Amino acid sequence: MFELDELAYRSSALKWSPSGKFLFVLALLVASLTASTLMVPLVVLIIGVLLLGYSVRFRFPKVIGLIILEGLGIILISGLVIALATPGTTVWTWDLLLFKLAFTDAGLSTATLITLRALAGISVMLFFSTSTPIPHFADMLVRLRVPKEFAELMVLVYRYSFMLLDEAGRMHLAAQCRLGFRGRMNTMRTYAKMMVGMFIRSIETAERSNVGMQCRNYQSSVGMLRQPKGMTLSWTALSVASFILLYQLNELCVSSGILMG
Amino acid sequence: MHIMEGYLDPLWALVWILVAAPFIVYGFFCIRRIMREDPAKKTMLALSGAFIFVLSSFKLPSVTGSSSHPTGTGFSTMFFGVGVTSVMSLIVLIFQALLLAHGGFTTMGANVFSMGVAGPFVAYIVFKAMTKAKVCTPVKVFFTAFLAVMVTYTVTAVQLALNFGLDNGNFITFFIDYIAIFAVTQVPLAIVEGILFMIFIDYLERARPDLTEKVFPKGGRL
Repeated sequence: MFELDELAYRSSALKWSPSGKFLFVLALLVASLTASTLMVPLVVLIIGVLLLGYSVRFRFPKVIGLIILEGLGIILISGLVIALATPGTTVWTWDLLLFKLAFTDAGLSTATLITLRALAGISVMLFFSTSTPIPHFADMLVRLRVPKEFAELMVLVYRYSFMLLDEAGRMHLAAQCRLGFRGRMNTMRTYAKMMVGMFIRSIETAERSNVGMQCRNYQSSVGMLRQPKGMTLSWTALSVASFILLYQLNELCVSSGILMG
Repeated sequence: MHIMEGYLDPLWALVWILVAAPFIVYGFFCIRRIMREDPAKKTMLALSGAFIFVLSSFKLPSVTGSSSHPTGTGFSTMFFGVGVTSVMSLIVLIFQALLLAHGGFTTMGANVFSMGVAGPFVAYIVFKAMTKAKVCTPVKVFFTAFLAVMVTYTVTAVQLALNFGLDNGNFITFFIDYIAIFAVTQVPLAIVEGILFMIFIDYLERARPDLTEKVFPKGGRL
């Protein structure tokens, strides 16, 4: 579960400003959403893949492949629904004995646009995920004037997740050794027991951790070895320029009828 | 299953952010009040968030052959109320977007509204009504967890149908299509989650009755 976070600490883009990356990613995502042609999501997809490649030093680990595959499954099902349910002129029918699936021209073009947008979104999001660890993201939220309590809660949830996950892993292994996952009902009982064990253990950990943090004079902020960079004018300029360029590209494609979907 | 990045038009993405925002703000004030009244509860809140997040990593067997995971919002609603659950859901959704690439930034408002506001809100009303009617704990827990999941996915289907079907007057067709797809995987999942939490609360009542006596007072019929 935390492979992406581990990747983020080894990323080539780790030292880039988290707020700058976030603004740039948002500019790309919004430009892709506002586009009515296939060209803009396609360009965003290419930018996203290149940035992702740079972030992971062009060595794509298995976890990224799995995430993309899982995303593709959801995208394809949703694309199929859009292609079938959107009204328009039928261009292709698929006879499945009991019923017929009719694909319309408007449905197919909307489904293609949405699929490309989703793929572009995944690539850009993965770039951000693989280059920004959670503590950097929380630091960015504080810099963006999000209430401190929220950022603090986020960092604490993140840190405790590791502890609980370790605990859950140990419990899972112990239950597996005792054939706890043999059969559906047995699996349910074992999961329920694990959840109770984790819940009780988490309360005990909270009590111990609270005393420990007070002893270390915890002042609602968790220190970092190296503070991430803040927002700079160049990131703002890059984000605004990217958005304008992509918007103009969309207008150009609309006027010339290129890749209209 | 959250709405993925790129699926919502900018207008709908903005609408759902605006709809979810008041609940998040309310939830944030609830959390701030809890933190200020008793700073020791800060760690408890954080661990509850971590518990929900880790819970969502447990894969459950599903009837369709695939596997799904519990959302934990029904549990959170029973113990902490809707306000806290909405903020916890926002944090968990940010983690899911960043660590698992589930959901996205532009669809965050829609996902928070379905998973952190609508589902828990309906579940909370039903939970309170059943508590008032003195329904026994297992039935109460089952329906709260079941409804939290079902309402979440119904609202997701509405959100997708509004996005794709409102312009071309095909809202109903899209809604039926999405709800039919969700029904295959999510109805069994909701039932499984309901049963899982029933067993969970039963074990918890026996192991740590001090933790459950406030939420599940003794006595009840059915």
